[in-house]
Amino acid sequence: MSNISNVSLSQATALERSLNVTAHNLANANTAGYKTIVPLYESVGHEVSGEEVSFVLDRGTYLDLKDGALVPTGNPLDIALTGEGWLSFQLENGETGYSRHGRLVVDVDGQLKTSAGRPLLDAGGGPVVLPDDVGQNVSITNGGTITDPEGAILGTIGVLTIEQGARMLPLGGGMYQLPEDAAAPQQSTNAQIKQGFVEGSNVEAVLEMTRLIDIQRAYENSVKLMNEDDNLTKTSIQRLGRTG
Amino acid sequence: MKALGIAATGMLAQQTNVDVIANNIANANTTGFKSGRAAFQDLIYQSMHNAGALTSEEGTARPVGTDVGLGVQAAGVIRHNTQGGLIQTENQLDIAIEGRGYFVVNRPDGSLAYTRDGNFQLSAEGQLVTLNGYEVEPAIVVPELTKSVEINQEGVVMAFVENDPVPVELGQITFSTFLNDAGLKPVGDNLLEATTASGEAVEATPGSPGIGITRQGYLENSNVNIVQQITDLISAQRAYEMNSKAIETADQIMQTTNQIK
Repeated sequence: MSNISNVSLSQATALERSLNVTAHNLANANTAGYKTIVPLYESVGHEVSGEEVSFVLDRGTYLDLKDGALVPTGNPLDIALTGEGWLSFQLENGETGYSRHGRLVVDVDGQLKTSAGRPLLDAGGGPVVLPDDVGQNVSITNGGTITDPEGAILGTIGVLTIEQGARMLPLGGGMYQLPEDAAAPQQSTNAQIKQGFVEGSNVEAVLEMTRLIDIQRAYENSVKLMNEDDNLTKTSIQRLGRTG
Repeated sequence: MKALGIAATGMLAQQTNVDVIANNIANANTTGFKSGRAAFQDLIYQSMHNAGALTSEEGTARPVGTDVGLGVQAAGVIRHNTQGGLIQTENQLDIAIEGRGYFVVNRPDGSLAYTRDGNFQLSAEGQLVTLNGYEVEPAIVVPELTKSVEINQEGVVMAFVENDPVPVELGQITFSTFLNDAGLKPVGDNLLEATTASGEAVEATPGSPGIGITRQGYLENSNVNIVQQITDLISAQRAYEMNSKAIETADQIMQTTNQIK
């Protein structure tokens, strides 16, 4: 294959992967606390017989961490975060996962958990337990303090900030993990909890739809380029064959 | 081409969403009904390139990985246990609960079920029963020739029999409460069953601290917010359409691929 076909192939492969990412974003357009994944491209250049050739490489993906829209639910155990901050949960393997998904339930022991059963952690890293007689009649302040109807403090939800540029690894189920070399998360100062709200997905449907169109047209271009290259080779063989 | 499967999970999730919304709207006028909401979660991710992998001998590393997610799944339907509006019916056997608690119903098979629907009637024997004829627990039997029944906020039922000006106390309606109301399993007929997730039923007297009170002559309407349901329905439909567009794009890309030769 010539360089032309190889360059087009690198583009087509990158586009296919980015279609998968866009489909995943669209599938999660209504998932509470979901953060958009954005693909990154890079050109990898090298010199072939005096000619500069650049291939396309999908270098990676990153999370777009901007806030999703707040959706009012009226459920006292739904909490949404605004600003830079994360809720922390205990994962099945005992490690800490971070999430913006604040749709909580209480289990039989009064412990606050996600609907998938991962316990919410308080400011000290322990579980949050609501007493029997309180049930779901709780108020949660902006700072995460949980009080019963009489105003007695039952616990404080941990709201953490993660250092800028840390690579959050998506685990699925709305959970993200921090890499081992990242600095320990600190108590957040600017994030606020809103009780009775859920943070919607931050997927911008219009953007993703235009990305779908872009991907499709760019893919068509790259296939066209491959065909042109093929035709070029075919024509040269025919012409050169005739003179010879 | 994973996009086809990913978009299919999105369409399936939106179908579940529409099912739940349709059930909410259908029960907008069902006594004691609590609206549900489908909760979604993103599926696992496949790492095509790992973040942190070394890119040179000098120790430079990839700052980002390529994580391709596999779509979305419905994680469950969460019931919203907020108070529904009270509607005055002036029927002396209609009871609404204002606050926490469930009526206890004795089913024909001997098991207990729980309900917020206080649309009670009398059986042939004068016992307080639900619209399906299931006995309310504890049993309240209204004697013959009763002129009127009074139920106070603590659930104490009194009957004025014949011309006697002094009421006869028939018993007290008690509630059951659960630590995790959302864990109760709906079984239809406005009834809920206890599960391991909801915890054991705890008996409570109406009017005690933190527990609801009984309101005679009222019924609790559903807590379905119709406007919210309709807007949710619109966004579910649009999300479904967007996922179908992703499938269309994947299809057309494969078609283009077939034209390479």
